[in-house]
Amino acid sequence: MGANTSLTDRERRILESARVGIAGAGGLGSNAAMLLVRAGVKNLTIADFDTVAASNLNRQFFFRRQIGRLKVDALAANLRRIEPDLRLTLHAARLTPDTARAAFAGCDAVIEAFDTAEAKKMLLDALLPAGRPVVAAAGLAGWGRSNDIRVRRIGRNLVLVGDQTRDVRDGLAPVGVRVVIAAAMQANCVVSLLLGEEL
Amino acid sequence: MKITYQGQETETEPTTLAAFLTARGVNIPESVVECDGEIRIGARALAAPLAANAVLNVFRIVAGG
Repeated sequence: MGANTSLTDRERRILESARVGIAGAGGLGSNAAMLLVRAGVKNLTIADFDTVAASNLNRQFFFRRQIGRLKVDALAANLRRIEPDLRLTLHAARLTPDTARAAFAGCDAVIEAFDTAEAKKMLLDALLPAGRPVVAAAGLAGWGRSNDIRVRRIGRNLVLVGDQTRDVRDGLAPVGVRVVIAAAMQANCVVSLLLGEEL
Repeated sequence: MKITYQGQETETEPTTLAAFLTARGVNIPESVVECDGEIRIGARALAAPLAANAVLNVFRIVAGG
């Protein structure tokens, strides 16, 4: 029995057998991973090169005592407090196009959860030609304007969550109240894709 | 020729996808380009001629996560 006791047998079978990639374990990735585990996903591949910093605690699924730890290790520990029976593959490295393709090769879907536009685009360019479904996010900085955050299906295998305008480079801070909306929408899209439901 | 760009019918001279977008100020390296339902990735795909009646959409990738 996983974390989600309300699943049907079919839903449980699908979610427990799926592997989901998480590219980046920051505001988007750590929260999306937490929500996927609560939804019933048990097999995650998580990549992030960074360590937990005090400035991350406004939006990321970490705790003060974890400052200085590798994010992938801290996130794995936190996810296992929700559901001990997880199969986690962790990559504590900065991804390149080649390593991204290799890291997420067996995934049924990948959540793009990087912070820079360059890294986001690198991941999309690396994974989309292989036909792998990618759920990306762009435009989630600042406060308010919750209804501007939308889900768009683009091409055959990209889903883009966000408002596409609110950029941290414009001086808008990434704050939990808005980042977590986008992370939850990404997780919801992945669960819907896995279950064959409408996004 | 006519194309549909960002939901609006637009007249353009024959050109490439990249030239059309650059002329409209699109920052291609930080955008996802979808043409006729397909995502166009890489210089080669973007150097292709823009076809009449193409449906072209551009999505900005902005920082934050």
